[in-house]
Amino acid sequence: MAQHHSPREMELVVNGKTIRRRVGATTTLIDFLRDDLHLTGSHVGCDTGQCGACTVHLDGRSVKACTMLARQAEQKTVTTIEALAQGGALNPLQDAFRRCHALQCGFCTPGMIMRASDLLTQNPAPGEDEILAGLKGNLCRCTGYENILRAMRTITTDEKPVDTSASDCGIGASPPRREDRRFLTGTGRFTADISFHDQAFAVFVRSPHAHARILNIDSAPAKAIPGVLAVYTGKDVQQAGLGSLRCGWQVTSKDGTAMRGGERPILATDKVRFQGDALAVVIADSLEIAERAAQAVIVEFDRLDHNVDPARARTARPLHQDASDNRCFTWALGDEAGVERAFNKAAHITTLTLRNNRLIPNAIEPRAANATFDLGDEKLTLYTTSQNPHMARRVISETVNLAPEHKLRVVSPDVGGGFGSKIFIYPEECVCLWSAKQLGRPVKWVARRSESFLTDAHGRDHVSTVRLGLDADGRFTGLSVKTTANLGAYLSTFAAFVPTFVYGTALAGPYKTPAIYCEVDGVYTNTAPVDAYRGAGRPEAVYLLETVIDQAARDLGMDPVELRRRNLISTNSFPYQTPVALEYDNGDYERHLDAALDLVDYKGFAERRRQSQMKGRRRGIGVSCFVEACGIAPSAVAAAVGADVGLWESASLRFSPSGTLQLMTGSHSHGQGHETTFAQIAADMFAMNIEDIDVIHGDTDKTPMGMGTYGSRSLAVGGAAIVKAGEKIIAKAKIIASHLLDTAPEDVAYEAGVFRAGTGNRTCALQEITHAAYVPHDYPPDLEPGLEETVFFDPENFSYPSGTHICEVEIEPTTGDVSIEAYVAVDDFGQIVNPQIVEGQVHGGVLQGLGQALMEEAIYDQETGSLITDSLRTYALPQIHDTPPFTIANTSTPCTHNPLRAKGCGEAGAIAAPPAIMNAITNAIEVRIDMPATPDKIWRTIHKSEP
Amino acid sequence: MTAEPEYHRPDSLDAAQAITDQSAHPVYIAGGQDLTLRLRRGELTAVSDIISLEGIADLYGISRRDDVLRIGAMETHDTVANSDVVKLTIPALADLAQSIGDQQIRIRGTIGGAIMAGIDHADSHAALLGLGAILTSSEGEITSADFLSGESQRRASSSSVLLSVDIPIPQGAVFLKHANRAGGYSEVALFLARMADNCRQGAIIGDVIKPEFIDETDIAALANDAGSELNDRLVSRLGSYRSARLKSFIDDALGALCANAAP
Repeated sequence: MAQHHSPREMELVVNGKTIRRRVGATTTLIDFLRDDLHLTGSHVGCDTGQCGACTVHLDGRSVKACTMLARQAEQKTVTTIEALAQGGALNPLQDAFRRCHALQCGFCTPGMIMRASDLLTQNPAPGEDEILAGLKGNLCRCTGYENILRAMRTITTDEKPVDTSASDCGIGASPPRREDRRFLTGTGRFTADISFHDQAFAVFVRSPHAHARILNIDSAPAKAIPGVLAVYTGKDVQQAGLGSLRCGWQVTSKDGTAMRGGERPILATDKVRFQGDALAVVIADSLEIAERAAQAVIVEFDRLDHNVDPARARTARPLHQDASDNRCFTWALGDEAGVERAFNKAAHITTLTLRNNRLIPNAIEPRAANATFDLGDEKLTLYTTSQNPHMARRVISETVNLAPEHKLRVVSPDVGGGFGSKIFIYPEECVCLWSAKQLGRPVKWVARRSESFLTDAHGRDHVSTVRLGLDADGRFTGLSVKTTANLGAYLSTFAAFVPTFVYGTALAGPYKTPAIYCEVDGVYTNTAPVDAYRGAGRPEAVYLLETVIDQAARDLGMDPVELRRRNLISTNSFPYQTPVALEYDNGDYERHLDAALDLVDYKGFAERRRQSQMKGRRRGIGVSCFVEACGIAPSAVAAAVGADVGLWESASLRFSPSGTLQLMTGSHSHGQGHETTFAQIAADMFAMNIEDIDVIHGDTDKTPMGMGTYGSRSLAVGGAAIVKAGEKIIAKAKIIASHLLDTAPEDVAYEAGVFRAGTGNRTCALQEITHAAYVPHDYPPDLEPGLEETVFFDPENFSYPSGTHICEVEIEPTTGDVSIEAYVAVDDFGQIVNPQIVEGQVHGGVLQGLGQALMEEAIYDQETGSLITDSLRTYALPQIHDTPPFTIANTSTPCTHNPLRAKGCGEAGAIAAPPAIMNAITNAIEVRIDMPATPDKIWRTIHKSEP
Repeated sequence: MTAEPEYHRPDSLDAAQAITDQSAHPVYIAGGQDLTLRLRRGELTAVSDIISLEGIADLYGISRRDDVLRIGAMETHDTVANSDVVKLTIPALADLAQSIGDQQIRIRGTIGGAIMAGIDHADSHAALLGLGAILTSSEGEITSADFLSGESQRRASSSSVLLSVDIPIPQGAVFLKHANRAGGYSEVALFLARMADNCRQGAIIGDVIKPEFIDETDIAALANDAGSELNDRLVSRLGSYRSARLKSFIDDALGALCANAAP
């Protein structure tokens, strides 16, 4: 054993304070700042120095604190985000970010601000290119960077932020977000920021193999390391009686059989089924010891044949005993015979086989869990990066059997982006909870980015053949889709739902295709589980539809816009029953198509193309129209599709005696801005200032039961619940007012925070009512004190946002580089509560769609079964210079069945962008290629070259 | 079980050497970015001493002596990119430094660290190899060609301290790079120079090839896409797309050098 050195004390200045500490030689600066100094404002988003979330200033210059040692900062000055707001006032850069809505989840924000502030110190007036180059090393997954650029321009040019006057804070206004102050000052509280006295740390032992039997696990060498508290294996968990994770949605195959296989033990027992599958956990006093001990666990594997390709799944070695052909289900929707009849009579049938590339969501905040067990009241608490804490509580209680629901509290504090990947219940949080109970110590796990790549649920991964039948006039007569959907190695929480009910039903789009048939094989492969990722099923469907329509237009020599227009559902057809189960309530598809064509100057395209040709470049334009079913969902629909859940949402409004309001929601915000928009709804109803409203979410002990945030549902369903609860409050307040005003309740009129007796002058302000509600000294006997109401809202139908996105590209044939020259998005989201936030959702969604179209692809090695794209050095995320020139507009038709008339907006960009961009590229190079359209793929296509 | 190594920050070469002589498994740290990643990957468990070179004044400075540009090993990419001396003497080297990674990486990363980290496709190699730079280390002088022909792993574990690089100043030079979209590193890059004797030479680097010095003959073969051994080797390693990028870099660089060379 090498000699132990006691680390020498080092001195440095951090945020103006001289610090002397003993620091280990290998401790990174970020770990020192976060763990030793508790400066948790700087974050860790990756482990390869790519994301920039950890950026701090060292002697005034920005550095990534995860790629330097703390000891290298000796005798130097370190400044972190916490020191930027002097005296609590945001500095001009922070204020610009706030006013321009340049942050959503807030996780990358501190690093972005620190980098931007260094840039501005070095160069107070950087040009656009200098800003792009200067912020290149900082990744943001939420904003699409557009508003970050705007914030920078408000500092460097005369550009003004969009009007965000704080005085107007009702529906339709864009007050600065209330959650932003904490994110901009480094005082957000993410799961990894939470530490307890006596904290223990979990590190998982994961399979290096894609498929193997576990012959033996020898944990003795690990247990012998001082500081190791326990090593648990799958057998330990099994013997403790903990249940496996199951999919919450039951899909019945077209032959009537139930879906097969896919149960996921919390820790693998007999065999491992994908690279990264967890088979044991080490709990230790420190993370370093746990990491070392995890490497000391000796596992004997018997490697089995593996398969990572969905197309080969049926004949590959079975992953699950009860699915011998690796087929979970063959699900069908629609009228197969009707479609065949339509094809028999069709003037033309366009057929395409295409692949929807596999994606890795990559929220910049990695998944994390911190579990505590209170021995006194036998209660478990889980702090976790979840999009739906109540659902997590139910599954962990009912399915995993860890604790009764009332003895389990799940808290989702600030969560740094999710995009679907944080909906699901994963093994790690269950293991942390169980370990905390076993050991009586808080147990914390934070994924390294490399773990996120291997184990976060991936998205998409379809192989499909689509056929579109058209009559002689170019009218769609039938659509047939056959898809093989890769489910990965296990069924994740929503896995069976995504490629079926939300996929097949989306195939009508905005078109009046009379007959549609969709058949999906869900198959297992030795890859990470695949589940909902932004759009979940709808991007896959819309991509198929919009691609085959463009191909049909090329086949027929028609303008693709004209072909679409001919087939759009007309405004007088609503409510419109599609052949794939949905009933659209409202929309005006031609209106946003026309608006988008105007904005992109479709008529001028030929001339622009000619000019590009003169420069030797190829120009293309691509249109994509979509309708998506979101605002998930009527509970009756959930029941019909095999879910043992309802899909309502709750809101609770609690007025205080002084007239301030607590608003509890069962949904969860991880960047969407609920603390602002939800307050706006209440502010509008009660003529209050949003600063007098506190929005509480993400804690099962504090909020009414909820179903969480996904499927663009928070506002359409959760917001509707707020309105309903507000109506109940007003009804109760009228009774109190009638008592105060000495009139009959039915004679009390309410408007804008004032209750009026009849038509007279006697009025009562809301604050008088709230006071009286809790000081019921002379109440009549039948009037109940208090002013607090809870409502559960179950929508009658989905909401159906729609839109037209048009992309124009210019391609350099010598390099294959794609330059996006225009990106126009015209969406119909119904009534918009906060235009700036909605626009931010479109930016972010489109950029994720652009990522899928141009660069993102999870690739497994066929030979080894290992993930090749296993870090941010190999899996490309859009960077700031990838931000397209956005033109964003809205049309509006109201949603007819929620009181806000609102439709979901979170997924539209990710749904519409891939086909718009790909159609533009196909239009430019005249050959269709699969996503991602990387420069080398485009170049090889143009030059007809092999790899 | 391995113990935490000791961290040292000597202020002279002699002091650094004394620590090295006493150490079982020393490792030098410059900016530390590659080293931190290697530590995290568990590659350096045997290391007993981490010796920071930051405090050694001899390792700094950028100066011109006659036809040679000398850069101290601890100078950062950011300093090189913004150095007036570099911009005046070899502007392509400033361009190269400015193209490395991102701003945070350039602020920490040093030219010496990039050379010694054992990564074959470090952009700096293209300029050093292409211009025939001389590396001066605590163990003496070595040409960049000889140095880079050694095994990269051995370079990374070298116990000598790189002091400075002496780079012959060309009449003109160009650096062109095709960066990986995710990692930002060079998938293929070309440094091409017109030297004082009017001859052209340069180097090619990439993530799937070894750094490759090229002379007039090679340049002619690449420019004409003639079936030379070098051309075949590069094409088979780089594949069609990167080879095409390289070819266009050659064409563009030759064009730029012609323009530069105009009297």
